[in-house]
Amino acid sequence: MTSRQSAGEADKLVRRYLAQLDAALRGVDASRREEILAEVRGHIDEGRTGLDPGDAASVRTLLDRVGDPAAIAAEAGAPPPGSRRWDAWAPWLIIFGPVASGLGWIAGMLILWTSPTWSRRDQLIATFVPLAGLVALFFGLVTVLRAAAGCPGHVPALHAAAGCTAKGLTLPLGVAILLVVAGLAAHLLPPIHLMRTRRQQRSTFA
Amino acid sequence: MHYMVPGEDMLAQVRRGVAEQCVLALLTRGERYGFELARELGARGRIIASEGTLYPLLARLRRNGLVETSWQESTAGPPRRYYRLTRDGELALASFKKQWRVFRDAVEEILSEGSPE
Repeated sequence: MTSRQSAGEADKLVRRYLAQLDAALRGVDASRREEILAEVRGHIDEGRTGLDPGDAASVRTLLDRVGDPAAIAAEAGAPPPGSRRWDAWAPWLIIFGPVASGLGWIAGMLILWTSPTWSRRDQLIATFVPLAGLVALFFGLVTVLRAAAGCPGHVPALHAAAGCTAKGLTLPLGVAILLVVAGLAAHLLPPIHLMRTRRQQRSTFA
Repeated sequence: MHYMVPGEDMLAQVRRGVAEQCVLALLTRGERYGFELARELGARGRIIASEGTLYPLLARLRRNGLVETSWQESTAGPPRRYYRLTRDGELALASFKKQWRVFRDAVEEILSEGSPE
């Protein structure tokens, strides 16, 4: 590798870093954004004066010390990326989406995963737990209905799902009722938690 | 102005306010340019999250009139922006120092009461 190539590489690292910082500072007013960019650029130049201009590894270390552009932008008061605009819809779409239409649930997921309001953990829980709850609720409910109706068996889908056939899975009524309650809780509690988190954040930012 | 990230450690909030005062304190020993301040703060560890976060902080101090800046030629390269305490900055630091010591002592006392020994 010639030193000219690696000088190019080091310069490219710096340019890419400054472009990331510029993007992260979107939302900060223009004069402050320019001031911060110019100062960070000066800092990097200053840090490079003692270095071999082609030493890409030391430039990487230098940029590491300057730090994550997102952290600098947060210190500058830049709004975090993503939109909170549709936040209020997400919990309702997660609750009613799967029942009303799959599209509703997908819209809920889009809002949930693009909004900065919720943590990764909340997003994962609100994606999978309500669905699992719905499945439990369905099987529990079918079994309870079957028991109540004495397993009439003239609705084929329910018939099979409820385990009316001899081969099918038969659940004790107690377990079925437990499934209904647990399923309902699993379906509703994560979206309710999303609503609560959102309200807390709104009061923090207000 | 500042956005609280869920799960962001509490100390990050405290550090933000305290870091400003530490910058003011470093400037009582004479004017400095950004790189020098960043290295001094960075060397003490944990005062600023990373060297780059110093610059939004300095911009804030300047806007609030606690520091002022001037461009000076450098032998090593382009001109540097030097930061200097203003009268308001000195007053802010003096009042912070007083409050900080009372606050620190109170916290220390409560924390040590809380521990068994």
